Formats: sequence, C-alpha cells, structure tokens
Amino acid sequence: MNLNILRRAIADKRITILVYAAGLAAYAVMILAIWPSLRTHVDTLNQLWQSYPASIRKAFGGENFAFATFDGFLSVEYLKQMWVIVMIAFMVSIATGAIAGEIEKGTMELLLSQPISRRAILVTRHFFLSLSTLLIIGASLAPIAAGAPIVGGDLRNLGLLLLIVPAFLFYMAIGSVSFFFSTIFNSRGRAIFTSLGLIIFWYALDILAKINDTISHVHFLSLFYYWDPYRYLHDLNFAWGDAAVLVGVILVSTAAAVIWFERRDVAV
Amino acid sequence: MTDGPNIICRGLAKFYGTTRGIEDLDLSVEPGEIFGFLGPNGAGKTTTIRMLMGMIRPTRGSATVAGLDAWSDAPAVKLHVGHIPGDVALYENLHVHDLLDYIDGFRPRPDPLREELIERLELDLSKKVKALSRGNRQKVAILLAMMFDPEILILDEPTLGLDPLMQQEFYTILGEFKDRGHTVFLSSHILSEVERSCDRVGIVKGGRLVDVRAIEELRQNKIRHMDVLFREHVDPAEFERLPNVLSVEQLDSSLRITIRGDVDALVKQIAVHQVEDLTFTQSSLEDFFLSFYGPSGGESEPQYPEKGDS
Repeated sequence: MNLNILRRAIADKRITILVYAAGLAAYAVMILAIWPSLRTHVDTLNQLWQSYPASIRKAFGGENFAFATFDGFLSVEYLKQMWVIVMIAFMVSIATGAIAGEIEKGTMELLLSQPISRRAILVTRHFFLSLSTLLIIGASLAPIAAGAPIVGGDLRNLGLLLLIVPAFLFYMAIGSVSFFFSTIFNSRGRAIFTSLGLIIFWYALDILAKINDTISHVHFLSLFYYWDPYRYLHDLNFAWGDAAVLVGVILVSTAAAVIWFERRDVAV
Repeated sequence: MTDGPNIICRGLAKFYGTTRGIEDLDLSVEPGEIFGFLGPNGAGKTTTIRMLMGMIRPTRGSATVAGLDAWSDAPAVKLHVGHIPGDVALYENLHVHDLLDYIDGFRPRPDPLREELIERLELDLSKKVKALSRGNRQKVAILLAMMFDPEILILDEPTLGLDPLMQQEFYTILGEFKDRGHTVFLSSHILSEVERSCDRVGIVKGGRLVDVRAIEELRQNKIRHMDVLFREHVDPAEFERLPNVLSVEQLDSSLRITIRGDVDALVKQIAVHQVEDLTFTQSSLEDFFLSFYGPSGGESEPQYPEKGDS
C-alpha cells in the first residue's frame, strides 16, 4: 500500500465520488418522497402485484415478496434497480481506469519509473476502490435511514445496517472482477466491454434461472444470485453462505489481478 | 550501488510472439560514462530501454542496473535511475507543480536539483499539463527524470521536441551528470545528437547490436558531404588527391566532396580559392550505416570504405 498513490487517487476522483454519492442520495430522497402517495393504495398495489404472472413475480421479487410494504417497495424500486445500475457503472469505471486506463494513457510507464512495486500500485488502487464503494453505499443508504420515519416507512434500522455488508461485498465482487480485466488489457475500452459483457450475462442468467426451472440449477453462477436486499431488510437474515461466496470472488479476482499484473509487460 | 558497470546486459532478448524486439544483446556501461544507443526507428532501442526499466520482461538473458536485476528488483532499481520514455505521457489534469510533488512523494529524500532545473529549463509550474506544448512536456519529463540527481539516467530520445537552445542546455546538464560520475544510457536515431554527447556508442539495427565504438572512432570514420561553390572554375582533381577525400563530383556549378574523417587538409585547400558558398551536411544515419557496414547494415562484418568508394 502506498499513501502517495492513495492521496492522489482521492484528489483525482473526489469530484466523481461526490457526483455519484450526491446523485444516489438524491434518488433515494425521491424514492422516499414517492412512498407516502403509494402507501395509501397498498391494496391496489398488492392486487396489481398478484396479477402479474408468477414467473415475473419470481424474477423481480420472489414467492414471498410483498411489494406493497416499504422494504418491498425499496427493494424493487431502488436497491435492485437504479442503485445496482449506478453502482455497477461506478465500480466498472473506477476499476478499469485504475490499471488499463493508465496503461492506455501511457502514465503507467511514469508510475513504474518510480521506486514502487506493481503489487503496491495494485493493492492501493484496490483499497481506494473499497474505500470509495463504502462511501457511496453510505451516502446512498443514509437518506433512507434518516427519511424512512418521516415518510412513514416501516423500516428496521438493523435491516439497513445488515444490508451494508452484503451490498459492499456484492459491489466489490463486481469491482474486483473488473479490476482483474483492467490488469489484462492495454485498453480501458476493452476492459469495460468485457466487464459489462460478463455482468449482463450474470444478470440475464439471474432472471432466466428464476423463471425457467431447467436452468435454475446454475443460478448460483450469477453474482446477482447473491444480492437479495429484501432478505436483509424484511427478514433480518444475514446470509453467511452468500457472503462467503462474494468474499471468495473478491479474493480470487484480486489475487489473479496481482499475479497477472506482476508478470505482464507494460508499455508494449 | 556496486562497483563495476552500472548497466550490464547479458544475452538479452525480447520477442513479441515471433517478432524480434532485440536479440542477444551484450553490453555494459561504466560509471561516469555516457553511452549512446544508436539505431534507426524499429531497431530495438525502446525495447531494450523498457527491459532496463523493468516495464517488459526479457524473453531470455538478463539486464542488471545498479547491480540489481532490472525485472525482479525493479522497485529498488528505480531508487537509482531517472528515466525519460520515448513517448512522454503525463497526468493531463494536474498542474505541473502538483505532478512534481506527486512524483517527489515516491522518493525517500527531497529532490536536490528540482529548483535549479526548473530555472534552467524555464518551466512554468502553474500551468496544467494538458496546456503544455510538446517541447514543454518534454522539459517536464526531463525534470522528473533528473531532479533527484539519480546515479543512472536511462533516456529514450530525450531531446524530442526541444528547441535547439534547450537541446544545448540539456546536453550541458547531461555533461554535469557525467562530471559527477553518473552513468547515462541514451538512445537516439540522430547521429549528431549521439556524437555531441556520448563517450561510446552501441549501434543497433534490425534487433541486433552490430557494434560498439568510442565516439572518437566514430568521428574519424564518419562520411560527410561538402558542397562548395567557387567564384572561379576549380579543377576537381586537386581535391581528389587530398587525404581522406573519397570522391569529388561536379554538380551544376559547385563541387560535392565526400570525405571520411579529418577535414583539415580539405578546408585548407578550399581556402586557397575564393569561395561563394559552402555547405557541410551532417551525414544521415543511413550514410553512417553505409559507411560502416555497407547496404546490409550490420549483418556482415564492418566495411570501411576505401578512397573512391562512396
């Protein structure tokens, strides 16, 4: 770990982090603001939800999912949709810029001309990714914790606290895989393309496995399988197995990134 | 740092798939020496420098810099080495002073030459890197490589984009590094650049080191062309008999004299006549290779052209 690189990364990306954090916080406030008008139509919403085909209900919620509750509404409208999209965009952007972006711009040659190991560069950039992920998760969930009682949302703070850990692990797993691609390619575009391709595959697999029993046995291959915010918010149930898988993905991807980056040619 | 050569390559080779970058490179550079690595574009100069800097891993052989393996001990090597890459890339969004502070932050001690070099290179630190001209970017790269007074400088085409005055200043600074006993490894495809600054020259072509020579030997054997316009008719034969003159050609109204080595006798003979114009062109790298190695450029033994060959 190198403090000089960490300080520079924070200085360079502070505006980006601020924009993502403020944008997600504003979206969370908007979602909160919608809830009071929706909750007066709970029965209608429940009827609407039940009127969807079972496969659709499974794909976007689950058998025991209750849309017309605050945590159900939050899960569908925020935590499994917009939040995931924006967070993935952030993770892929930061992770691919960390190594492939520098190689593409040629600045990696300047960095590697200094007395610092490749491992230290990589570990520091990965730590920065973790730090900024935590900050944005905090900024995204804080308005919900503060605003839920004001808008009459029935939310247990323990659930929200529980959610931070799997959210961090889920996004870091995606970020770490992107990070690995960042060490493989000389072009940031290729790293982004490959990362997004894999994420879209995981998302499609998640949806298809929920609605099609013939492929449900490979559902676990999708990272989205391990992201179920409703489970934490509503059931207050921490999934240790899911967390272990996500930790495994982070460790394996990061180790692979270190091994690859330490052996590869830079500036070819 | 250890005693002995500061840079040693032993059987160093790099292949990109089946494409040869450089092959079987054996050379050493002593402390206090400026070593020029001369060759045309694509000869393998940058590949060699990138291996010395630990950017790329040798396919075989070894490169030792400051007594350390250039690949496996790369971070420790960089404590002793300043580097200017052939294609300078800097952090575009930083102000120059922020960039200097950032790079300075990797060194264990403050940079002793920073202020002096800023003044001598006439750098404006308040500008953003992206607002700098090509020449000023090159000056920033020079500053970044030299400001911590490294024992070894590894420079890839270091004067690219510099104006002649700044080139002169750069070579003066380089001379001061040499006077302090530091080692410089400098690649170039410009013969005059190597000639003015180096003690020895390694000549590389087609991915192979074809020769290593002292710069004095290079000067003595170099072919140059002199175009002389006389005010009166002058018989070419009086120059053909002079020492070192290889050939004399009658152009429209002037004589083209091709000479290798010492020009003293020729200049004195020209001065006997009234001269209207005189042009002394530096030989190109191609001339140089032809003069030393013939058209194959180093695939065979060196060929020293005899009088009359040109």
